[in-house]
Amino acid sequence: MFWIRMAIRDLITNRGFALFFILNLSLGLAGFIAIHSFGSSLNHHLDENLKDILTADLVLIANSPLTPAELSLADQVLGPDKSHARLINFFTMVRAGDNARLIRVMAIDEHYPLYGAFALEGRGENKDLQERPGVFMTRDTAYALGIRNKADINTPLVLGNKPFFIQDFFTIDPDKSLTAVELAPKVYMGLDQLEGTGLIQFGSRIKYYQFYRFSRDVDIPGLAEKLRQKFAETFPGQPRINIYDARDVNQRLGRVTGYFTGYMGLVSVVALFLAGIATAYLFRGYLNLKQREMAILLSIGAGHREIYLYISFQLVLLGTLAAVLAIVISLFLVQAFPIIFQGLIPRHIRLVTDPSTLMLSMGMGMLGSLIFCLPVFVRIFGIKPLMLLRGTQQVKRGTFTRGLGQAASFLPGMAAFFLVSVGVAGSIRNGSVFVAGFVLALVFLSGMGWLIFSGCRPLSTTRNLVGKIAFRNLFRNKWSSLSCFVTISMGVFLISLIPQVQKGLQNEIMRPEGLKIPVFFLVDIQEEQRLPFVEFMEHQAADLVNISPMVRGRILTVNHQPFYGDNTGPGARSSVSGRRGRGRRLEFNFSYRERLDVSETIFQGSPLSKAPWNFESAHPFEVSVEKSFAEQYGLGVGDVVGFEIQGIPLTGRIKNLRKVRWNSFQPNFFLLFQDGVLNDAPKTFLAAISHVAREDRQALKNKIVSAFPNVSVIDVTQMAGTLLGIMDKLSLSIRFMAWLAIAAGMVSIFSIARHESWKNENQVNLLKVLGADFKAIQAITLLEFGFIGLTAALFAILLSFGFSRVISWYFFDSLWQFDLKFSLAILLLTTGICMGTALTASRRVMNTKPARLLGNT
Amino acid sequence: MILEIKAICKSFHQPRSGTLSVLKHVSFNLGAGETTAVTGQSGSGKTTLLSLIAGLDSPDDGQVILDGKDLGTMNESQLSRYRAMKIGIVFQQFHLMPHLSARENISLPLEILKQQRIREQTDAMLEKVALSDRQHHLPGQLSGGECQRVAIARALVIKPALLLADEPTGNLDMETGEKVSRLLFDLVDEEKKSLVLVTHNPVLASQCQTIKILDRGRLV
Amino acid sequence: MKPFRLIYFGVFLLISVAWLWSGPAPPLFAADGSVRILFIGDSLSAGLGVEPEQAYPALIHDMLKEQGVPGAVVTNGSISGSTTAGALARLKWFLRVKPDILVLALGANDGLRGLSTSEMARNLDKTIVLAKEKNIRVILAGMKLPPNYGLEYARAFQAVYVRLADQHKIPFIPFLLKDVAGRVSLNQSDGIHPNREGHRIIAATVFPYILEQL
Repeated sequence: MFWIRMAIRDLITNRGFALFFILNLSLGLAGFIAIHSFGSSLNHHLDENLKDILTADLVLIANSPLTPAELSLADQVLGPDKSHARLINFFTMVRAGDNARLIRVMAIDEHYPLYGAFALEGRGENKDLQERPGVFMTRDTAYALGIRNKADINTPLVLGNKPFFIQDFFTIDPDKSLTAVELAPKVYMGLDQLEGTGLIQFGSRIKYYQFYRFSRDVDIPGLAEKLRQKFAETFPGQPRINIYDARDVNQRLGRVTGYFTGYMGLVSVVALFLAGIATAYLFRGYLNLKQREMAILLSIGAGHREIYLYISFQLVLLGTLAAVLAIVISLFLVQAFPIIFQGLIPRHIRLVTDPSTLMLSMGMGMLGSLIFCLPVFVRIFGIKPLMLLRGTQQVKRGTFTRGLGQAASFLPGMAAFFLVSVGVAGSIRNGSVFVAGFVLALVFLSGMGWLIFSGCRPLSTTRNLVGKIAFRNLFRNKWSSLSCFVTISMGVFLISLIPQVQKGLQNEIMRPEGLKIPVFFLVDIQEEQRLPFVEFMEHQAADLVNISPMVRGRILTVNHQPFYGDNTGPGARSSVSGRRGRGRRLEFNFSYRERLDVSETIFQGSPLSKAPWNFESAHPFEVSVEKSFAEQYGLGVGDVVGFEIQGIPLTGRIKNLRKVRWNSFQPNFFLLFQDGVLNDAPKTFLAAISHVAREDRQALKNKIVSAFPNVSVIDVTQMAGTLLGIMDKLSLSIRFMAWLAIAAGMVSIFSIARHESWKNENQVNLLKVLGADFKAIQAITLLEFGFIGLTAALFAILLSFGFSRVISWYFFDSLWQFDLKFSLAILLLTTGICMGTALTASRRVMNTKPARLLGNT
Repeated sequence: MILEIKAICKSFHQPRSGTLSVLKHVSFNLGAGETTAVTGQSGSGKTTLLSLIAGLDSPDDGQVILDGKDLGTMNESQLSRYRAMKIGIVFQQFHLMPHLSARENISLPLEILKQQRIREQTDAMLEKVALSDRQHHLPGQLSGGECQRVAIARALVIKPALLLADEPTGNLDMETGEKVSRLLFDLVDEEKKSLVLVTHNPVLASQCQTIKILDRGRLV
Repeated sequence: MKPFRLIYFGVFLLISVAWLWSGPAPPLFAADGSVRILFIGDSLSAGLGVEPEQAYPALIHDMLKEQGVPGAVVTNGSISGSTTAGALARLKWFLRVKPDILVLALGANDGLRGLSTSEMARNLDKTIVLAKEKNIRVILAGMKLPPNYGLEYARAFQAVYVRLADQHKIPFIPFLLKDVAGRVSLNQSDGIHPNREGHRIIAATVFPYILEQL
């Protein structure tokens, strides 16, 4: 109790310091909480989005009804506390009066949808569909069926053998159809009303969906995997049931949200490291300040153990207070985000700070202070009351055991960092990569700093007084300069990692500039229809984009080896040939184009030659391969590939690998051939149409269908809208998180710089007493701190270029882009903060009576 | 015999100038209630001798026996405890805890050593150094003389067998110094303490029963 | 990066289309005296999802060899996803292999996509006319739509083939997927494309019509 009283009293007396300390630490922690909360809220939001798209947590899809045995197995594996819904889906021709149209029937039970809802014009309810032969459809669909005014509304719709009526019109339906494009409009009906239509018989092509929604927190991908396994074990043979969770809804979306999760992890770890660095730095300063007092206590009989307890208690107390304050700050901050950053963060995201984040920051504050300060803490060993007699503050450094102890004392901190990184980054592998990178950077920057400050010696031989004193200070106080340098540079290093990764990701995710969002996608335009179609579209109020020829074929050989490979062959690239095993059964789309689309860039190799290839030529024609396709099938530039196109074997050589902006929403192809190869081959054309006013869409669609009856018009508005909506949110969020991380980082750097400049007070005071003029003192301070800040930031940013590249390569499929703007801003800000805080501190000293400061020593 | 110094030697390694012998075979004894001054020029080894007697540092050779116990045989924590019980130290720089009041500074050793009747002992000590009216002031609010009085009180409050003083008046003006030294000797006398006083002030040294002069590491 | 995979996935899952290549090095331009058989079809004939030599046109080639017709050359000009709209253009392209027999097996995608049956009839008619002009014997393979498309449309769809066969007096296979369609064990997991076994049955269905023409 005595020690606790002492500790509290001490803190109260030193409340200025305590407050400064708590404030600094809590800002770092609040940054961490804010970033983590924002990231996980968005992640959660995306998950919800995906669930809305799937309308469930998990879905089983089969081409025939699910048997009771299968359902009960699913029931058993998925456990209790879940709800389920059923959907049967198929295409059919519906007739209303004289009009017949292809529609997609969505026969739903009363529980559908488990997520999402219908937006209906009238007061229709799902229940109505179950009880009566009514349907929900859009007004556009009704119009296409010839139901155009109130008088028509009672026209019966004949589905198979059964007449239905329109129960209500929907404007939004829960099914977001990201896997099946809108070949035909959807019409919803009650599951039980299927009876009597005669549409479901032997040979009918029907999809059966069983949706599940869990009311408890479960690992959905894990459950899906388990269910797949169980089904495979119980019902051997070719799996007939497909199992999807929300993340499978859309591969690209899943991948992009995966990127986002990774990015969020990175930013969180960075924020955490920054908070940790700032914390350790502040504690170090605190302990240095306390050395004399500890020596006094030791001299009057206190043991080392008691001193540890005394200091630990203070640390934990300060850390806890800081954590509590951080939590309070961040709760306000996170709530205020949508208001402060209106337009900068996606709307409709409910920002929630989850308890685990709060627990983590609480732990960081309470134990983190102890763990991260252990390296400083072990120096208490070195404190001897002897210093009271000798009047020195210097702790003897040196002995081997102490060095070993000092080194070992870093281990718990690293271990804690590692654990937290793993927790935040989501996997042991990722956490290890972060920590390993952190240690490497630390070693590199320490080495760099040592070289720099050793290099200050020749600089200090200048005749210029300011330069002489400043560089001499840096050189003579090498260790102190170094610790400041390393801390600042580590901070800058971590901060500037973010914008590099962010830019690459953002460029990937952001909607391309000038993107023409397609409204319709057209397939099966015949060769002879191409010109008439182009002409036809010129008279429409819409843009025809990117009409591309498409020829289908197979790949036979790669470098004269069978493409489908041989799994058993010695030295076979097993993973590649395994994937290729399927390749033989696959057909691919080939195309050619005069110039690459704006969404395409050559990643490796040179552009295809413009000269048309001659069929008689003995040389292979040139091929451009999409990058991920090349990776999937182990293809590279220079490979000779044997194709089979419309019965004719042809040989090409890969000239380049192409990267395609996946969200360009344009017809893109894995394989592009040199001009002249496919020109005469029978082919069809794909095209996209954009810029169609909402009210003109149905009319345009009808016009196309009547002029070109074989062309299928696929409505991609909803899909593009949904995807782009999510992309825009992600893109906004990624940038926002980068800003947040930089802001949090700058706060940490500010607190480090401020602490360092406080330490500088004695020197300033001495110079003042010795009669140096204020301008010179300011110049010395500015030069000293500016030099540390500039060199630290410069080397840190350079290092971060390399590291962010590695991170991008490792986590984000090499999405990396040099970001000069952010880097320059960080460089200037860091230097500015260092100089600014130092200047403020020196001004303060200059305006204080020297005696007060001298008396305090 | 309260203190026996037997042929102690101490040297320091210096990075540039090699080994520096500070104390060379120094021996002397001090009986209970005796006072002795150690004087000498700067660098003669006075402070080093004091730190060895206080057990703040250990000799390279020789023994320091305090109240019958060889300090060299104790480990760091035993030493710390023993020192706290047997020795009171008064520093030139006072070394008071800046955040504790005069009274709290004085009671601090009692609290650390978990002694009984802390309040009474502190009151008595405050009275002896005539600081009862200033007892709630922080060191920063006290004058140098008052600070040193607090330091003396803190050194004596545990009733040590031996009092060590390192230039106790070095940081004080002449007049205050005299007052403080008078108080110190009065209390030592009153409490029958042994005292080792390190100083290069001959006036102060002359108040001790014996004077030992150190010259380049040897007693002369 | 899977550019546009989603669209492809959707389009080609629904509208399967294909073509197939028979054997490791097909002698497309065969020596005189041999029989050249051309298949123009969709994914069903292209053998989508099975190995090229497991698709029924390749099986027929094997069967012909066994039957002592060694000179038979089979060209599979089927394209997954194709509709009757491209039939004429494709026949023109394949005229260069000088086919003796054309197996015309298109229409499934027209039906599945709910396209106009009269348009489909017109496309097939033009193709048959051209083939006959070039003295190619045409075998028309008929298709049926799954019952979920509704009886009315399915009937109109089927009638196209019957009428064409009648009109041009050409051999007519009433249903290419006879004894295959709808049977889980004979189809791939998508429920629409025949598996290896399914292709064997189709080959058995088609083979007699080809023999008849030899």
